[in-house]
This record gives sequence, C-alpha cells and structure tokens, in this order.
Amino acid sequence: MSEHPSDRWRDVEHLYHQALELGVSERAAFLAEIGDRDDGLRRDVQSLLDHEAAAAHFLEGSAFVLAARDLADSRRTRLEGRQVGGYAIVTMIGAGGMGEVYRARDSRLDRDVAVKVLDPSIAADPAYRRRFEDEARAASALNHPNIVTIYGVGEGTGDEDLAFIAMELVEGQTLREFMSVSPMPVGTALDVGVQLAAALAAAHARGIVHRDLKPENVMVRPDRLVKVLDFGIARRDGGLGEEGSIVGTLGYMSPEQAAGRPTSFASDQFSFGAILYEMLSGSRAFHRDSRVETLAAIIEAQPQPVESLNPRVPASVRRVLERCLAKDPAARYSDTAELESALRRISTRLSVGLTRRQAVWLGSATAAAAVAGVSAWFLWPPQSIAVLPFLNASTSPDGDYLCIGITEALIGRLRHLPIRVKSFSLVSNFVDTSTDTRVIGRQLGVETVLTGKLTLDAGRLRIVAELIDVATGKSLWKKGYDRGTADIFALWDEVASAIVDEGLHLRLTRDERLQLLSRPTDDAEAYDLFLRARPFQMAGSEQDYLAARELLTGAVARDPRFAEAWVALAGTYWTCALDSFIRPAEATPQIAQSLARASVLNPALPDLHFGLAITHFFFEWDWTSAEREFHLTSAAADRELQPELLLTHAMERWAMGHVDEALQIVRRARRIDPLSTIFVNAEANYLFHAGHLDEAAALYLTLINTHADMASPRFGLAEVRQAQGRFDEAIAARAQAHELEGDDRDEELRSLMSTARGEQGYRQLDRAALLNVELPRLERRAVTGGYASPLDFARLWARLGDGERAFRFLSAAFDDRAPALVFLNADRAWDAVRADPRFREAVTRVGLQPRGQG
Amino acid sequence: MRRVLVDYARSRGYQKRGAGIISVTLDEALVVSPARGADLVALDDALQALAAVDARKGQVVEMRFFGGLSVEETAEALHVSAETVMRDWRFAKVWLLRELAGHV
Repeated sequence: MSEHPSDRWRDVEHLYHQALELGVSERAAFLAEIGDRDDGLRRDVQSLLDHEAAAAHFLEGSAFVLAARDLADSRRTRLEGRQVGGYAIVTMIGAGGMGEVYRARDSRLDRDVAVKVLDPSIAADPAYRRRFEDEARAASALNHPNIVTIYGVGEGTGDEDLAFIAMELVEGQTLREFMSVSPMPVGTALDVGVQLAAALAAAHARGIVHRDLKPENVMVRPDRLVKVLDFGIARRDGGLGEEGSIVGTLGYMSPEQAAGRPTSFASDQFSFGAILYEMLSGSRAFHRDSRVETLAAIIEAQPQPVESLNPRVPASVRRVLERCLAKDPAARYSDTAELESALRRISTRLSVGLTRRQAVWLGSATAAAAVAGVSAWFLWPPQSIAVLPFLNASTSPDGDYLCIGITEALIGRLRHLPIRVKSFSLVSNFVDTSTDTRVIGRQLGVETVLTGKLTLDAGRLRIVAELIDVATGKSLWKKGYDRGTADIFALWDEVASAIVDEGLHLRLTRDERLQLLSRPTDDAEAYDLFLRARPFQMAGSEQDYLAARELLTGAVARDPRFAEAWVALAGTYWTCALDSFIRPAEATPQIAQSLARASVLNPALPDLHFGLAITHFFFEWDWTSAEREFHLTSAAADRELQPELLLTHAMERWAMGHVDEALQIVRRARRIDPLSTIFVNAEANYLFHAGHLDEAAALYLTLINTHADMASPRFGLAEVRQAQGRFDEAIAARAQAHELEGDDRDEELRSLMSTARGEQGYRQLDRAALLNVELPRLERRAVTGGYASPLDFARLWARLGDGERAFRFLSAAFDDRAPALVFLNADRAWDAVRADPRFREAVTRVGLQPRGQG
Repeated sequence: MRRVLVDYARSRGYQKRGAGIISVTLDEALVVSPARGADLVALDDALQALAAVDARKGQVVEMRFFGGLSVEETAEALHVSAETVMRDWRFAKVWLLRELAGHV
C-alpha cells in the first residue's frame, strides 16, 4: 500500500474536481483541451465523470445498518446447521401449515436450494405421506420457467423422521407482498397474470392441478419473473383446508371446492381469476368477515365489477376475469392454454404499442414484447428532463387519453428549448410502473423528472405536477391546477410555462417562448378528437385502428389545416396494410392523399417523412425516394430520440442487401433506448443474418435469461443453432418457444418437442409447426372473413419446400401488391425456391437484383 | 471491522459474481437499494485496489461506509479538514463505481 499517490493520480483527481465546477459546455471544452495534450488522461477523467450522477447515492447509508437488517432476518431454528438428505440447512426462511422452509446448500452441485420439511405431525400419517411423496414426484416432472423446479423428494437421515422436498430457491417477494401496492398498475398485473397462466397451462397440459393457488404460493423475483410454488402437493383434506387456516386463504378457493365437490384444472382457473381480480382492483373478490360468509360468497356472490374499482382495466381483461370466475366450471376455459394466450395477446398489445408490427417483419415468426428491462445506463447530459406518463387518478376513462395527451404535449413543447427532453417512446417504457421515480430518472440518465397526476371529475380537470431532482430526490417544484375542460390549451400553456420558469429556471429567447406556447391546431374540438385517437393508435388491433381512423377523420373535417392529424390518419392505413389487416390496394390512395395534405401544411414533421419513407419503400418500391426519406427520418430519430423510427430503416437496409448497415442502425436505436427488448432482439436478428452466429446466439441468450417469458428470442436462437449445425440445441430452443406460445397443444408438435433429435428431427419439428399451427392460423383468418395475405401463404409453402403452391400464392401476392414482397431477397424463408426461374422473375418484378446462386 | 462484515456476507453463501453482471446489478443493487452480499464482496475488492493507489481515500471510505463515521468524525480521525474528506469521499465513490462497473 503506497502512502503517496502517484503524480498521474493527483492529476486525474485535480482535473476531475475542476471539471465538476464547470458548466456543461465549458466542461466539454475543458475536456477537449485536456485531450489535445493527453488523450488517455482525458478518457480517464471523462469515464469518472460518467459515473458522477450515479455516485450521489452510492455508499450513502452505513454498512452496519444493512448487515444488521440481514442478521435480524436469519432466525435461528431447530434444523439450522444440520444435514438433511445431502443438504446443509443454513437458515429458516418461512413457515406454513404444512411445515417449514429452509435455505440450504447442495454441496454436490454447489448451489443454494430451498428445503421444505413436512411438519412431523403430518408426516406421521403414512397414507398422507405416500400421497405427498407421489405428488411431489409428479410435480418434479414439470419444467417451466414460471414453476419452481423440484430437485428431489426424500426422507431425512437425521435422528428425526423427516419428509422433505428440495426445490429451487427463489429470491424475491411473495405475490401477497408484491400486491401491497394497491391497485397495481394494469401493465404489471397483466405481466404477472400472463406468467401465472403460463405456469398453470404447462402444468395442466401434464395433468397436474395445483388446488391451492393463492398469492402466498406465488413468488415474484426482483426481475419480475414469476414462480409458482407447491404444485400438485396434496392438501391433507381435499375440501376445506386444514383446521385453523386463516380466512384469507379461503378467498381463492373455487365454488366446487367450497362445496366439497371434486376439483379439476378449472378450479385453478377460478383461483387464478380471484388473484388477477385482486391485482387489478386492490381488493379481494370474495373476502368476507367470517369463514362461513366467505364460503357462501364464493358459491353464490358475484364480485363487485372490477372496473368500478379500477377504471383502467380494459374490457378485454374484464372478459377474461368473467370467464375465470364463472361459478360453473364448464363455463370457464376448456383449455388453460387458451386462457394464457388470450391474456398474453392483451398484455402484448398494451405494452408494445407502436413497435409491435415492426417486429413482425423481423424474420422470426412472432412479435417481440417490449418489456422494460433493467440496465445500467448513465449519460452525462446537460440540463435534462424526463416527463413521465401522467397518471389518471380519476374514475373517468376519459382521463386516460388526457394523460397521454398532456404528457406528449409537454414533451413536444419542451423539446424545442435548450434542455434535453426524453421522447415519449422512451418514457413510455415506464407507463404503469411502480418503480421509484429516482430509479427511473437514473435509468433514463436525466437530472430531473416531471411526474403528474390528472383527475377528471364533473367537468373539472385537476392536474398536479411535480418536478423532482434525481440526484437528491428533492421536489424542485410542485403545483396544482383546477380548471374547466373547455380550454385545455390554456391550461397546458400555463403548466408548460410554470415548469420552465419556476421549475427549471430556463431563460428563453422570444422564438423559444413562442415554440413553448405553440399549438398544433386552433380548434379545441379537433384537438380533442386527435387526442382521443392516440390510445387507439398505440393499441394495435384492427378494431383499434378503425376507431382511431374515425376520430381522426373527424379531426381533419373540423380543421383541414391540422397537419399532425393528417399524418396520424395516414398511419391508421399504413399500419393496417403492413399488418395485413386490409388489402394494400385499399390503403395506398388514402395514405397518399393524407400525406400530401400534411406535406403542404407542415413539411417538417418527422412522422410525415416516416410515412413517406414507408410509402415509397413498401407500397411503391421506389428505392431512391425511400432511401432519401429514411435518411431524413433517421436524422429526426436521433434528434427526437424516437428509436422506433430507426427499426424500419434497418429493415429497408436489410431488404436491400446491406445487412451490416442494418446492424449499425439497430445498434444506434439500442443506444437511444437500452430498456426496450425490441432493439436487442433486432440486433441479434441482424447479427444472425450477417453471419455472426456466435454473437447472435450470445445476445439471444442474454434476452432469454432476463426475459424468460419471451418466445421470440428462443425462435431466433433456434435459427442460429440450426445454422451452426447444433440441431439438438435448436430443437430445445424451438420447443421452449412453442411452449411459451401455447403451440404445444398440437399433439404431433408436442411429441416432437421431446423426441426429435438431430437435423432430421429439427426438420420434422419445423414442418409440424408450419402445417399444424401456422397454416390453420392463416386459414382461420381467411375463413372468418378477414383479409389473409397470399404472401403469408406463399412464404409458408416455400418454407415447406412446396414450390407449386408457393408460386401460386406468390402470383396472387403480386396482384395484391403485398408490401412484404420487398423482403424476397433477404428473407431466408424463400431459400428452398430461390433457384427457381419463377422466383428470380418475381425478384426482378419487385425491382430488385436476383441474388447470385450459391 | 470491514473484514467482519465482508466475511459475514461470504458466509451467508453469496457467490462472487462476474464483473459483467455486477455492472448490471450495480444500478439497482448498490446504488438504489442497500449494498449486500455479493456486492459487498466486490466492493471490498475494489476498495483494496483504491487503498493501494491512495491510502487516505481508502481510509475515508472505510470509516464513512463501514465505520459509519460522519464527515467531521472522519476528518478528526485522519487529521485533515472536513473539506478534504468531502473531496476524497466524492472522488473515491466515483472511482469505486467505475471500478465496479468493470471499467479498465
């Protein structure tokens, strides 16, 4: 240990403190000056400055306090320090009616496990004990990311007669603890709900029923991965539970259980419904003051409508709840996988919004879910701010669109000022999150965060907004407003001005002041219609787009000079055409007309150029014009921090045979928004197409590790493994992906998922998935009267190597001018028919150069 | 005293995690919520590296974080001004964070 630090060290320290004294622009100049003399020194100082924001809270709080808290948790109990069936018991972590749970060490496999020791009084009953062990063994066959893995069942070798189960140790909270925030944001509740349903569906597929699903039996890890405990473990007396068990746990029992009738998987669905209800509403569906009343309520009473407790619960979720909570088991879902996929669809739609359709084109069969992840991400911006999505604190559903409206309006107005403002697409990672404001601020790399609450009540609009300093958590400014709804503009002018003048203390030029008070239209009613359309535009189903279209048509009818509304209206058409909801030929004239109006009114709108780029590229196959518009859009994407605009540009580069450029572009998107999984998935996909197989696999694995419930990286990984000739791993990845998607309801596919081996096996699996799952999906769409794109059929037959059928559908796809024809060269799905002269002719017809063979 | 705390963390069965993961957990585990377990072990390693280049800064962190001493108490113990302790503390924290984030 040296007593005297080196000169170099002193230099770094000195310069670091000097830099801290400087303002942002001076600091940049200061660092540049250092760099001229000694670039290594500059980098050293810079990298320290990069951590400055995060250091504010680092090590604040004494280690003693933290360790003491840890010590207090470790209660000494009778088995600690003892050996139970090869596991060294460390400490007790829980106790329940059935026995105690300990943290233990498995020294053979060098891992920590949880050991559940059956209460000796229960273990003494031999019949019960046999059932306990039989069922625990059955449950140990379950292998699912949302089910706690059973490692073994056994009897202790100690002096006592012990029966125990060793299982995966899950660090986290029980769902009961997790639910203490009430009501939970809808997005969070659905996230947990989807994972719960996935666990049930997987177990039910193997004939295992839980029978005692309740919040105490569900763990939520800090990364929000959900793990269900105690599957298939027999209750001592099938019907009413043990003597003295608390009333609370009765609340999740199904009516048939409460009436002492036999249980089935549908009973788990009921319990699931009761849990989902509680997550969404913050109150228990059937809880009553006494045990008898609770049982009666389960059997007879309908719970209070969930929307009366939380108006943010969408109708689609309410329908799922109603079905799960049906008194008659036959009225619930006939297959739990159906429940899972219904909920998953709703959840994906709510969380992904705008970017979902773009993921559909990424080569993988499924859309990626954009789930906010966790990532250390520090920037050193100048004065910077993130306006977080406002919270609707009223019971009025109209509050929802006003919340999005004020959030976007404030972002839009502040964006032109000398301050860095995080875009709506970045802050929307934090819609409905319970994460601490300062944590969000740090993840977004901003110094200040604006939060707000909005209440709409009897024609009064109340807003409370607060500006928080991320480093200290202190409130910099807070103000409440109470107005009529007649003049939203005036209110927003006032809020925006107060934030700038009283909160941020920015000095504005005259032009900047005008920008701050700018309005997209002078017609308040047109603006209201435009705002009402926003949530529908972000939701992404066909019905949502239609609803948005109607509102936007009304907006431009009231104010034909409203440029943003014209672009948004065009957007409802191009999204429907790209999603194959309508025949492209129906959409193109509408898109052209609306964009033409907008170009005249405000040629600078970023979304306008995005729309033009899409039109030229997907609908007109005019590569030169498309590339020009994509360049304009990309510049805007960087400036306005809208990474989703880059995703489409990357797709264009890939389609045109420049996969390396596509890779660069998605990496840029990922730097702008490291929290959204969609860009990580895209980067892995282009790495794969660029032939960087190892890197692609590594990135997919990262995603799989952090987002166990996402199917798309598993599909991607399977592709990579296949290309690497590692077929068994490809099969494993595909099997997990299909399981997550619920495709394993198909018997042939399910059986192949466990038996297929090697190259031949992978082909069989792929074939079964295409023929038994994908094809019926497309056919259902065609039969139910919706538009089914012939290109989707052509692509499927090409993957199956059936050239005749593929070309028949391909010809029809040209009649419809299917937008995805632009991917003929890039998409590997066509490889089997690529050499056919008819395919080369098709490629030429799109205006592309057929790729050389081999 | 630091030794005891770190050994305590080790004995609780925490595995020392790789640098790559630390840089991810840093944000949530160390900065946001209490430093515990594996993080404490990693911190100890980084602190030793700091003490090797600048002994006084190592002592400041040891006293402030592991010892729970205030700025004034630390200044008194080290016979320096409170201002110096603050400067050392600020620099040491940033340096340690960078170290824990896996920066070379």
